[in-house]
Amino acid sequence: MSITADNVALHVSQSWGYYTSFDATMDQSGDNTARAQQVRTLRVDFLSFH
Amino acid sequence: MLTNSPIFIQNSGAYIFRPSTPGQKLKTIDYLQRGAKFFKRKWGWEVQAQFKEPWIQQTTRVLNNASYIEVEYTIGPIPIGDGRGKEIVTRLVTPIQSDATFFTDSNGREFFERKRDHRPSWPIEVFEPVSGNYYPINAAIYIEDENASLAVLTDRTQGGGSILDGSVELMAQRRLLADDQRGVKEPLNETAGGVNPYPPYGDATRYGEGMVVRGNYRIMVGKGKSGASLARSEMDRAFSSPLIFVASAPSAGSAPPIKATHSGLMGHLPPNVMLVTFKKLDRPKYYLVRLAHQYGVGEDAKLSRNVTLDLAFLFPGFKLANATEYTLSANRKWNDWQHKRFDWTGLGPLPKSPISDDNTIFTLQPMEVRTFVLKMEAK
Repeated sequence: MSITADNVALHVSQSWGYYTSFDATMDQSGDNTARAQQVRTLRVDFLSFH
Repeated sequence: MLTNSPIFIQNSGAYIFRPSTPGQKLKTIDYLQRGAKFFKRKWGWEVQAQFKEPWIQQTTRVLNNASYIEVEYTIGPIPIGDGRGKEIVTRLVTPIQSDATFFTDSNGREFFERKRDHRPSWPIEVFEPVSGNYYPINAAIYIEDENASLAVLTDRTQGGGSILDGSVELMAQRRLLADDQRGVKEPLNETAGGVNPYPPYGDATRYGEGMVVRGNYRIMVGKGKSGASLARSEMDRAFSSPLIFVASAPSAGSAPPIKATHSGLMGHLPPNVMLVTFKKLDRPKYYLVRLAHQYGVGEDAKLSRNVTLDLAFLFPGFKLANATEYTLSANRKWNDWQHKRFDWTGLGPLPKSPISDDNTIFTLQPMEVRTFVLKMEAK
Protein backbone atom coordinates (compact mmCIF):
# COMPACT_ATOMS: atom_id res chain seq x y z
CA MET A 1 0.00 0.00 0.00
CA SER A 2 1.10 3.57 -0.50
CA ILE A 3 0.56 5.87 2.47
CA THR A 4 0.72 9.62 2.01
CA ALA A 5 1.06 12.05 4.88
CA ASP A 6 2.88 15.34 5.40
CA ASN A 7 3.37 15.42 1.59
CA VAL A 8 5.41 12.23 1.91
CA ALA A 9 4.25 9.22 -0.09
CA LEU A 10 5.71 6.01 1.24
CA HIS A 11 5.23 2.56 -0.19
CA VAL A 12 4.69 0.17 2.70
CA SER A 13 4.25 -3.53 2.03
CA GLN A 14 2.89 -5.45 4.98
CA SER A 15 2.94 -9.21 5.30
CA TRP A 16 2.64 -11.94 7.88
CA GLY A 17 5.01 -14.80 8.51
CA TYR A 18 6.42 -16.97 11.25
CA TYR A 19 9.58 -18.32 12.79
CA THR A 20 9.58 -21.97 13.82
CA SER A 21 11.03 -23.72 16.81
CA PHE A 22 10.93 -27.18 18.32
CA ASP A 23 12.31 -29.01 21.31
CA ALA A 24 16.06 -28.64 20.87
CA THR A 25 16.72 -31.22 23.56
CA MET A 26 15.09 -33.89 21.38
CA ASP A 27 16.94 -33.01 18.18
CA GLN A 28 20.38 -34.35 17.42
CA SER A 29 20.65 -33.28 13.79
CA GLY A 30 18.84 -31.33 11.11
CA ASP A 31 17.97 -27.80 12.09
CA ASN A 32 20.36 -27.86 15.00
CA THR A 33 23.48 -28.42 12.91
CA ALA A 34 23.93 -24.71 12.44
CA ARG A 35 23.26 -24.16 16.15
CA ALA A 36 25.93 -26.70 17.14
CA GLN A 37 28.39 -24.93 14.88
CA GLN A 38 27.67 -21.67 16.68
CA VAL A 39 28.20 -23.27 20.07
CA ARG A 40 31.61 -24.61 19.02
CA THR A 41 32.60 -21.09 18.06
CA LEU A 42 31.48 -19.85 21.46
CA ARG A 43 33.60 -22.46 23.19
CA VAL A 44 36.72 -21.51 21.27
CA ASP A 45 36.20 -17.87 22.18
CA PHE A 46 35.85 -18.79 25.82
CA LEU A 47 39.06 -20.81 25.88
CA SER A 48 41.00 -18.02 24.25
CA PHE A 49 40.68 -16.00 27.47
CA HIS A 50 42.99 -18.43 29.28
CA MET B 1 29.28 -31.56 28.55
CA LEU B 2 28.84 -29.27 25.60
CA THR B 3 25.66 -30.86 24.25
CA ASN B 4 24.01 -30.48 27.65
CA SER B 5 25.04 -26.87 28.08
CA PRO B 6 22.20 -24.40 28.54
CA ILE B 7 23.27 -22.70 25.31
CA PHE B 8 22.80 -25.82 23.23
CA ILE B 9 19.44 -26.89 24.55
CA GLN B 10 17.87 -23.48 24.96
CA ASN B 11 14.34 -23.55 23.55
CA SER B 12 12.09 -20.74 22.60
CA GLY B 13 9.56 -20.29 25.40
CA ALA B 14 7.63 -17.96 27.66
CA TYR B 15 10.70 -15.92 28.56
CA ILE B 16 12.93 -16.45 25.54
CA PHE B 17 12.53 -16.00 21.79
CA ARG B 18 14.90 -18.29 19.93
CA PRO B 19 14.07 -19.73 16.51
CA SER B 20 15.38 -23.23 15.93
CA THR B 21 18.12 -21.98 13.62
CA PRO B 22 19.97 -18.76 14.40
CA GLY B 23 19.50 -16.87 11.15
CA GLN B 24 16.13 -18.37 10.28
CA LYS B 25 14.37 -16.56 7.46
CA LEU B 26 10.77 -15.57 8.03
CA LYS B 27 8.36 -18.03 6.43
CA THR B 28 5.98 -15.70 4.65
CA ILE B 29 2.25 -16.35 4.52
CA ASP B 30 0.90 -14.93 1.28
CA TYR B 31 -2.38 -13.16 0.71
CA LEU B 32 -5.09 -15.28 -0.86
CA GLN B 33 -5.67 -14.32 -4.49
CA ARG B 34 -8.99 -12.46 -4.77
CA GLY B 35 -9.31 -12.84 -1.00
CA ALA B 36 -9.70 -9.13 -0.26
CA LYS B 37 -13.04 -7.40 0.21
CA PHE B 38 -13.34 -3.59 0.08
CA PHE B 39 -16.00 -1.72 2.00
CA LYS B 40 -16.84 1.97 1.93
CA ARG B 41 -18.01 3.01 5.38
CA LYS B 42 -19.38 6.21 6.86
CA TRP B 43 -16.16 6.66 8.78
CA GLY B 44 -13.76 5.79 5.96
CA TRP B 45 -12.98 2.58 4.17
CA GLU B 46 -12.07 -0.93 5.12
CA VAL B 47 -10.28 -3.85 3.48
CA GLN B 48 -10.79 -7.36 4.84
CA ALA B 49 -7.96 -9.59 3.68
CA GLN B 50 -7.64 -13.34 3.71
CA PHE B 51 -4.40 -15.29 3.72
CA LYS B 52 -3.34 -18.72 2.54
CA GLU B 53 -3.40 -19.80 6.17
CA PRO B 54 -7.01 -19.49 7.43
CA TRP B 55 -5.85 -18.80 10.99
CA ILE B 56 -4.67 -15.32 9.99
CA GLN B 57 -7.23 -12.64 9.18
CA GLN B 58 -6.69 -8.95 8.84
CA THR B 59 -8.78 -5.85 8.47
CA THR B 60 -7.16 -2.60 7.38
CA ARG B 61 -9.05 0.60 8.11
CA VAL B 62 -8.45 4.11 6.86
CA LEU B 63 -10.49 6.43 9.05
CA ASN B 64 -11.60 9.85 7.92
CA ASN B 65 -9.42 12.56 9.43
CA ALA B 66 -7.21 10.08 11.28
CA SER B 67 -3.46 10.45 10.97
CA TYR B 68 -2.90 6.70 10.95
CA ILE B 69 -3.95 3.50 9.20
CA GLU B 70 -5.31 0.84 11.50
CA VAL B 71 -4.48 -2.82 10.96
CA GLU B 72 -6.58 -5.19 13.04
CA TYR B 73 -5.39 -8.78 13.10
CA THR B 74 -6.98 -12.00 14.32
CA ILE B 75 -4.51 -14.85 14.72
CA GLY B 76 -5.08 -18.38 15.89
CA PRO B 77 -5.41 -21.14 16.68
CA ILE B 78 -1.83 -21.61 15.46
CA PRO B 79 -1.52 -25.15 14.04
CA ILE B 80 1.02 -27.41 15.70
CA GLY B 81 0.30 -30.66 13.86
CA ASP B 82 3.76 -30.54 12.28
CA GLY B 83 5.37 -30.65 15.72
CA ARG B 84 6.76 -27.13 15.36
CA GLY B 85 6.19 -24.14 17.55
CA LYS B 86 5.43 -20.98 15.60
CA GLU B 87 5.98 -17.33 16.41
CA ILE B 88 3.86 -15.12 14.20
CA VAL B 89 5.11 -11.73 13.12
CA THR B 90 4.01 -9.00 10.78
CA ARG B 91 6.69 -7.29 8.74
CA LEU B 92 6.38 -3.87 7.13
CA VAL B 93 8.87 -3.12 4.39
CA THR B 94 9.58 0.40 3.12
CA PRO B 95 12.25 2.08 1.00
CA ILE B 96 13.44 4.01 4.08
CA GLN B 97 17.22 3.87 4.36
CA SER B 98 17.30 3.10 8.05
CA ASP B 99 20.97 2.08 8.08
CA ALA B 100 20.45 -0.71 10.65
CA THR B 101 18.99 1.83 13.10
CA PHE B 102 15.55 1.80 14.69
CA PHE B 103 13.95 3.21 17.79
CA THR B 104 11.89 1.54 20.49
CA ASP B 105 10.14 3.03 23.50
CA SER B 106 11.02 2.40 27.11
CA ASN B 107 7.71 1.61 28.77
CA GLY B 108 6.04 4.37 26.78
CA ARG B 109 8.44 7.08 27.92
CA GLU B 110 11.79 7.78 26.25
CA PHE B 111 12.79 6.25 22.93
CA PHE B 112 16.02 4.27 22.71
CA GLU B 113 18.12 4.12 19.58
CA ARG B 114 18.77 0.49 18.62
CA LYS B 115 21.36 -0.58 16.09
CA ARG B 116 21.19 -4.01 14.55
CA ASP B 117 24.03 -6.31 15.69
CA HIS B 118 25.29 -3.63 18.04
CA ARG B 119 25.29 -2.85 21.75
CA PRO B 120 26.16 0.65 22.91
CA SER B 121 28.45 -0.35 25.75
CA TRP B 122 30.35 -3.46 24.59
CA PRO B 123 31.46 -5.10 21.35
CA ILE B 124 29.01 -7.86 20.52
CA GLU B 125 29.63 -10.96 18.45
CA VAL B 126 26.27 -11.92 17.02
CA PHE B 127 25.15 -15.53 17.26
CA GLU B 128 21.42 -14.86 17.05
CA PRO B 129 20.79 -12.50 14.13
CA VAL B 130 17.01 -12.56 14.62
CA SER B 131 16.30 -12.84 18.32
CA GLY B 132 19.48 -10.94 19.22
CA ASN B 133 17.94 -7.95 17.49
CA TYR B 134 14.48 -8.15 19.04
CA TYR B 135 13.49 -5.65 21.71
CA PRO B 136 10.40 -5.11 23.85
CA ILE B 137 7.97 -2.73 22.18
CA ASN B 138 5.61 -1.35 24.82
CA ALA B 139 4.07 1.40 22.74
CA ALA B 140 5.87 2.14 19.47
CA ILE B 141 8.73 1.41 17.11
CA TYR B 142 9.94 3.67 14.32
CA ILE B 143 12.48 3.95 11.52
CA GLU B 144 13.44 7.08 9.62
CA ASP B 145 15.81 8.65 7.14
CA GLU B 146 16.20 12.16 5.71
CA ASN B 147 13.12 11.79 3.47
CA ALA B 148 10.52 9.76 5.32
CA SER B 149 9.62 8.11 8.61
CA LEU B 150 7.49 5.12 9.56
CA ALA B 151 6.08 4.61 13.07
CA VAL B 152 4.06 1.61 14.21
CA LEU B 153 2.08 1.79 17.45
CA THR B 154 1.01 -1.34 19.28
CA ASP B 155 -2.03 -1.82 21.49
CA ARG B 156 -0.08 -4.21 23.75
CA THR B 157 3.51 -5.04 24.53
CA GLN B 158 5.18 -7.18 21.88
CA GLY B 159 8.63 -8.14 20.69
CA GLY B 160 9.88 -6.31 17.64
CA GLY B 161 12.83 -5.16 15.65
CA SER B 162 14.18 -4.22 12.26
CA ILE B 163 15.86 -7.31 10.88
CA LEU B 164 16.25 -5.82 7.41
CA ASP B 165 16.98 -2.19 6.58
CA GLY B 166 13.78 -0.26 5.91
CA SER B 167 11.64 -2.83 7.69
CA VAL B 168 9.83 -3.13 10.99
CA GLU B 169 8.51 -6.36 12.40
CA LEU B 170 6.35 -7.13 15.40
CA MET B 171 5.49 -10.45 17.00
CA ALA B 172 1.73 -10.72 17.48
CA GLN B 173 1.23 -14.30 18.65
CA ARG B 174 3.28 -17.34 19.72
CA ARG B 175 2.58 -21.03 20.31
CA LEU B 176 5.45 -23.24 21.39
CA LEU B 177 5.84 -26.90 22.22
CA ALA B 178 8.93 -26.98 24.44
CA ASP B 179 9.72 -25.43 27.80
CA ASP B 180 12.43 -22.80 27.88
CA GLN B 181 13.61 -24.10 31.28
CA ARG B 182 13.21 -20.82 33.07
CA GLY B 183 10.94 -22.04 35.84
CA VAL B 184 7.41 -22.28 34.45
CA LYS B 185 8.00 -25.92 33.51
CA GLU B 186 5.51 -25.92 30.67
CA PRO B 187 5.62 -24.87 27.03
CA LEU B 188 3.90 -21.68 25.95
CA ASN B 189 0.93 -23.53 24.53
CA GLU B 190 -2.16 -21.89 25.93
CA THR B 191 -5.48 -23.41 24.89
CA ALA B 192 -9.03 -22.12 25.06
CA GLY B 193 -10.36 -25.08 27.09
CA GLY B 194 -7.96 -24.78 29.99
CA VAL B 195 -5.68 -27.36 31.57
CA ASN B 196 -5.84 -30.16 34.15
CA PRO B 197 -4.01 -29.54 37.44
CA TYR B 198 -0.32 -30.27 37.42
CA PRO B 199 1.19 -33.37 39.06
CA PRO B 200 0.75 -34.70 41.64
CA TYR B 201 -2.88 -33.51 41.44
CA GLY B 202 -3.39 -34.09 37.71
CA ASP B 203 -1.69 -34.78 34.43
CA ALA B 204 -1.56 -31.21 33.02
CA THR B 205 -3.52 -32.21 29.93
CA ARG B 206 -4.63 -29.23 27.84
CA TYR B 207 -8.10 -28.96 26.34
CA GLY B 208 -9.45 -27.17 23.34
CA GLU B 209 -7.88 -25.30 20.47
CA GLY B 210 -5.01 -22.88 20.76
CA MET B 211 -5.78 -19.32 21.75
CA VAL B 212 -6.99 -16.73 19.26
CA VAL B 213 -5.74 -13.17 19.72
CA ARG B 214 -7.07 -9.98 18.22
CA GLY B 215 -5.14 -6.74 18.32
CA ASN B 216 -4.25 -3.78 16.22
CA TYR B 217 -1.44 -1.65 14.92
CA ARG B 218 -1.55 2.00 14.03
CA ILE B 219 0.74 2.73 11.10
CA MET B 220 1.91 6.29 10.55
CA VAL B 221 4.16 7.86 7.94
CA GLY B 222 5.62 11.34 7.81
CA LYS B 223 8.46 13.49 6.68
CA GLY B 224 12.11 12.69 7.30
CA LYS B 225 13.43 12.39 10.86
CA SER B 226 9.95 12.72 12.35
CA GLY B 227 9.46 9.19 13.70
CA ALA B 228 9.36 10.17 17.39
CA SER B 229 7.00 13.05 16.74
CA LEU B 230 4.69 10.80 14.70
CA ALA B 231 4.59 8.15 17.40
CA ARG B 232 4.07 10.62 20.25
CA SER B 233 1.14 12.26 18.50
CA GLU B 234 -0.91 9.07 18.72
CA MET B 235 0.63 7.01 21.54
CA ASP B 236 -1.66 8.18 24.33
CA ARG B 237 -4.81 7.57 22.29
CA ALA B 238 -3.55 4.11 21.33
CA PHE B 239 -2.80 3.27 24.95
CA SER B 240 -5.98 4.72 26.45
CA SER B 241 -8.58 3.85 23.87
CA PRO B 242 -12.16 4.35 25.03
CA LEU B 243 -13.71 1.66 27.19
CA ILE B 244 -17.24 0.76 26.14
CA PHE B 245 -19.77 -0.23 28.79
CA VAL B 246 -23.27 -1.47 28.19
CA ALA B 247 -25.96 -1.29 30.86
CA SER B 248 -29.40 -2.80 30.91
CA ALA B 249 -32.52 -0.71 31.39
CA PRO B 250 -36.20 -1.62 31.65
CA SER B 251 -37.65 -1.37 28.17
CA ALA B 252 -40.85 0.28 29.37
CA GLY B 253 -39.28 2.74 31.79
CA SER B 254 -37.21 5.80 31.12
CA ALA B 255 -33.68 5.19 29.96
CA PRO B 256 -30.77 6.32 32.14
CA PRO B 257 -29.83 9.94 31.54
CA ILE B 258 -27.83 10.31 28.38
CA LYS B 259 -25.10 12.92 28.16
CA ALA B 260 -23.48 13.07 24.78
CA THR B 261 -20.14 14.39 25.94
CA HIS B 262 -18.34 14.84 29.21
CA SER B 263 -14.86 16.06 30.05
CA GLY B 264 -13.20 16.01 33.43
CA LEU B 265 -11.10 18.95 32.34
CA MET B 266 -11.92 22.63 31.95
CA GLY B 267 -10.63 22.60 28.37
CA HIS B 268 -8.12 20.88 26.12
CA LEU B 269 -4.73 20.28 27.66
CA PRO B 270 -1.80 21.30 25.47
CA PRO B 271 -1.11 18.51 22.95
CA ASN B 272 2.15 17.58 24.68
CA VAL B 273 0.61 17.14 28.14
CA MET B 274 -1.31 14.18 29.54
CA LEU B 275 -3.34 13.93 32.72
CA VAL B 276 -1.86 10.65 33.96
CA THR B 277 -3.73 10.42 37.29
CA PHE B 278 -6.87 11.97 38.74
CA LYS B 279 -7.83 10.07 41.87
CA LYS B 280 -10.03 10.92 44.83
CA LEU B 281 -8.15 10.26 48.05
CA ASP B 282 -9.58 8.92 51.30
CA ARG B 283 -9.43 12.35 52.96
CA PRO B 284 -12.51 14.31 51.89
CA LYS B 285 -11.81 17.03 49.30
CA TYR B 286 -8.28 15.74 48.52
CA TYR B 287 -7.28 14.53 45.06
CA LEU B 288 -4.12 13.01 43.63
CA VAL B 289 -3.15 14.48 40.26
CA ARG B 290 -0.23 13.65 37.97
CA LEU B 291 0.52 15.57 34.81
CA ALA B 292 3.17 14.50 32.32
CA HIS B 293 5.02 16.05 29.41
CA GLN B 294 4.71 13.45 26.66
CA TYR B 295 7.58 14.48 24.35
CA GLY B 296 11.29 13.92 24.78
CA VAL B 297 14.04 16.48 24.16
CA GLY B 298 14.42 17.20 20.45
CA GLU B 299 11.59 14.92 19.33
CA ASP B 300 9.47 17.76 17.93
CA ALA B 301 10.38 21.33 17.06
CA LYS B 302 7.38 22.79 18.93
CA LEU B 303 6.00 20.11 21.20
CA SER B 304 9.28 19.27 22.91
CA ARG B 305 9.36 22.73 24.48
CA ASN B 306 8.59 23.37 28.13
CA VAL B 307 4.93 23.96 28.88
CA THR B 308 3.36 25.92 31.73
CA LEU B 309 0.04 25.02 33.35
CA ASP B 310 -2.14 26.41 36.13
CA LEU B 311 -3.77 23.84 38.40
CA ALA B 312 -6.40 26.39 39.44
CA PHE B 313 -7.94 26.28 35.97
CA LEU B 314 -7.86 22.60 35.04
CA PHE B 315 -10.83 20.94 36.72
CA PRO B 316 -14.39 22.17 36.16
CA GLY B 317 -16.78 22.24 39.10
CA PHE B 318 -14.00 22.62 41.66
CA LYS B 319 -12.38 25.55 43.42
CA LEU B 320 -8.76 24.90 44.27
CA ALA B 321 -8.02 25.52 47.98
CA ASN B 322 -4.37 24.48 47.97
CA ALA B 323 -1.85 22.34 46.11
CA THR B 324 1.17 20.48 47.39
CA GLU B 325 3.75 18.82 45.17
CA TYR B 326 4.68 15.22 46.02
CA THR B 327 7.24 12.72 44.77
CA LEU B 328 6.16 10.50 41.90
CA SER B 329 4.89 7.73 44.18
CA ALA B 330 2.97 10.36 46.19
CA ASN B 331 4.26 9.16 49.56
CA ARG B 332 6.45 12.18 50.42
CA LYS B 333 6.16 15.89 49.92
CA TRP B 334 8.63 16.96 47.24
CA ASN B 335 10.27 19.62 49.45
CA ASP B 336 10.81 17.19 52.35
CA TRP B 337 12.32 14.61 50.03
CA GLN B 338 14.51 17.10 48.24
CA HIS B 339 16.11 18.43 51.43
CA LYS B 340 16.52 15.11 53.22
CA ARG B 341 17.74 12.87 50.41
CA PHE B 342 21.40 11.96 50.35
CA ASP B 343 23.43 14.31 48.18
CA TRP B 344 25.15 11.78 45.92
CA THR B 345 26.72 14.34 43.61
CA GLY B 346 27.86 16.86 46.21
CA LEU B 347 26.21 19.53 44.09
CA GLY B 348 23.24 20.16 46.37
CA PRO B 349 19.54 19.47 45.78
CA LEU B 350 18.38 18.61 42.29
CA PRO B 351 17.28 21.61 40.26
CA LYS B 352 13.52 21.79 40.07
CA SER B 353 11.30 23.01 37.27
CA PRO B 354 9.70 26.35 38.05
CA ILE B 355 6.60 26.47 40.23
CA SER B 356 4.75 29.45 41.67
CA ASP B 357 4.77 30.21 45.41
CA ASP B 358 1.20 28.95 45.77
CA ASN B 359 2.13 25.74 43.90
CA THR B 360 -0.49 26.19 41.20
CA ILE B 361 1.41 27.52 38.17
CA PHE B 362 4.18 25.15 37.18
CA THR B 363 6.33 24.17 34.23
CA LEU B 364 6.75 20.72 32.73
CA GLN B 365 10.01 19.97 30.96
CA PRO B 366 10.27 17.25 28.26
CA MET B 367 9.40 13.81 29.69
CA GLU B 368 8.78 15.26 33.15
CA VAL B 369 5.99 13.90 35.34
CA ARG B 370 4.82 16.03 38.29
CA THR B 371 2.62 14.82 41.11
CA PHE B 372 0.31 16.97 43.22
CA VAL B 373 -2.15 16.51 46.03
CA LEU B 374 -4.91 19.06 45.58
CA LYS B 375 -7.50 20.18 48.09
CA MET B 376 -10.54 21.20 46.09
CA GLU B 377 -14.00 22.36 47.09
CA ALA B 378 -16.96 21.61 44.88
CA LYS B 379 -18.30 24.86 43.44
